[in-house]
Amino acid sequence: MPRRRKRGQKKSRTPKIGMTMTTGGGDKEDTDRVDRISSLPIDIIRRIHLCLPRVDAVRTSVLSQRWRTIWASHPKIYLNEEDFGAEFSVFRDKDEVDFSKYCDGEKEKRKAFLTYLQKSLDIRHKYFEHVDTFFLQMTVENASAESLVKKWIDFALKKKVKTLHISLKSRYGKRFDLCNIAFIAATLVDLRIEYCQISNCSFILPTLSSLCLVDVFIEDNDFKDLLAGCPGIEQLRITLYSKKLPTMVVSNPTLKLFGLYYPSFNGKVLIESKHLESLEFSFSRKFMWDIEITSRTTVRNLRLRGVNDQDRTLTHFINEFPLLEILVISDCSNLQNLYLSQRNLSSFEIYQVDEVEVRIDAPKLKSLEYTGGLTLFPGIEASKGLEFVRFYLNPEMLNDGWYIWLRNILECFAHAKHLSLICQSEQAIIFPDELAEVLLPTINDLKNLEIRIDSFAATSQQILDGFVWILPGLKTLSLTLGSITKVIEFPQ
Amino acid sequence: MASSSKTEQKKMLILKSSEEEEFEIEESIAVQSGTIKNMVEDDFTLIPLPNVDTETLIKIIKYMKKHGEKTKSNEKDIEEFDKEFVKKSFTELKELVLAANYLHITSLIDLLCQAFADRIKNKSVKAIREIFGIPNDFTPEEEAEVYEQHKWAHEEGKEHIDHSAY
Repeated sequence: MPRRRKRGQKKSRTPKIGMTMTTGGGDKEDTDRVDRISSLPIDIIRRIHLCLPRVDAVRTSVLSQRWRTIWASHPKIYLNEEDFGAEFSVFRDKDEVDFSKYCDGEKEKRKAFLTYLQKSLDIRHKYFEHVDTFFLQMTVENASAESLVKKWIDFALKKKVKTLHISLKSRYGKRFDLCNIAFIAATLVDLRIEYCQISNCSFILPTLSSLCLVDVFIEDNDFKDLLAGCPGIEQLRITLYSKKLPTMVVSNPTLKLFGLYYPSFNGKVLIESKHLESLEFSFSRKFMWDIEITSRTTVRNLRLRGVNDQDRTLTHFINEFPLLEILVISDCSNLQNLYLSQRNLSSFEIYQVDEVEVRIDAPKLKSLEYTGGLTLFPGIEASKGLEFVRFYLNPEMLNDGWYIWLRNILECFAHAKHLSLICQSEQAIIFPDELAEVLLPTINDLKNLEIRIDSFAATSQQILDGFVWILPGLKTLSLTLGSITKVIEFPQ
Repeated sequence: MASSSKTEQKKMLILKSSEEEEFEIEESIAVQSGTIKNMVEDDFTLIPLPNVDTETLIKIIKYMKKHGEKTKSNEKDIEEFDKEFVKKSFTELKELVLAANYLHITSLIDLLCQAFADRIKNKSVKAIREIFGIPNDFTPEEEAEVYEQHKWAHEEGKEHIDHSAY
């Protein structure tokens, strides 16, 4: 390739020794020292910052004035006392709190963080650029820290922040008293508050789209005011809810997604929002909620986790949403039967359940994923449009019935366009010789199969010998062992 | 894909570098560049690129051709190509990232920014200045002040803290 002179360059480029990845070196002549990076556009330098671990990104601010300015005016502000080695303990269980952590060592680190917080705020006032994202996580131990926190929140809100995420505790891991703060912003889109006790705050957030409350304590009136202050809210997520409200009522008309995760008591929620599209519920073993939804026909996505079906109400609950398109069920206990009648259901995922009998009347079903015990899917052949079926096989569940179940699955899903079996060891799919007769007759309809095994122990010959004999109609087999994929085609 | 009428022939474009050299390239590959895509939608077939010199353009075309033939099976192959692609001098990388930025080739911009980041990672400030040729324009007092401000990041043993997700 002919070499060309670049415009403006005094001499032609010659290959330089040492101009490779890690070693330094460059133009050896000091007079000709050309800065090969600082003149890049700010957007590119910001992208480079995003590719760096934060410690390295912060350090670039001492490279030169330009780098300092670019970093100081970085629209994402991330302040976390954990960077200073302080421990922001997440566990509030009284037995777990180790008060010895609040000895002098911790105090020093927190003090250092506070100083940093103050200095950063002073500097930030110099740069009048907008702030895109503001993240603050710390333990607020005294009045001056509290005043600093408030100043920072005010600053972020004034600078037209779009994403605000605060995670604040007070002494001994207790909730921080977030009070008398005016959350008034015309640009805030995403708000997340963790571990606080919210009281006497005003919320005027016309552009807020997503609100997330984690382990937050808030009185009924304040909660109502909060929701009323977000007229455009589309996503509401509440985690680890612990206040004993008799009934939580959510009625914002713009709400599209509601999620409740791991509430720590039994309760009830009533959602009156008329355009609700997605619902997500995660329960722990102990607590379940009574859920009433007004607008059931608009819900398209439903995710349920940790449901205890001892009352046999899960089937009924799901079928009350007649137009579901995506359904995900996981970690449910006492689940024996699931009879789903869903005319629009397109994707169904079911994880970590024991033996269940799942009957689905879903003519539009395209995709199904499963992991768990020896679950049966009688009647699934009626879902003729099935394209992607994935079974994650768990060899821990191997027992005598396993291979018979596996054969049943192959037969039921033979009509799927792409059936995939994914497992960690070949034991899950190689049929033992002794069972050969029991597993007959062969399954002739299965034409395409994908097998992915996470280990290198098996050979493709073993799979062919031990497994494929039962599929005489097989046309193609995509076999991935470890990280190597082979596609085997069978002559007909 | 498109309702192609007569023949199987693929539509070709001509890219012209700042030094007026012309290169033929398939349209389906060239539209990995957002800038070129826009021009194609405005019915250009000869695309002048006054901001990109010939050498850089040759490299970019090579990149686009490789990435244009991406399928499920050659992912590793492309990874190897990318690794080799960034083994260039800083001056070349700088020209490339400016051109990629101008041409709006997102995957290439990301690849090059990561390459720069990889050379900054885990290095002392002094080493970074040396490698990139960044002149220190702080007064000693200013420098001490900035250093003090972010003291926590300069301390030993902080390197393991990686909150690269904002």
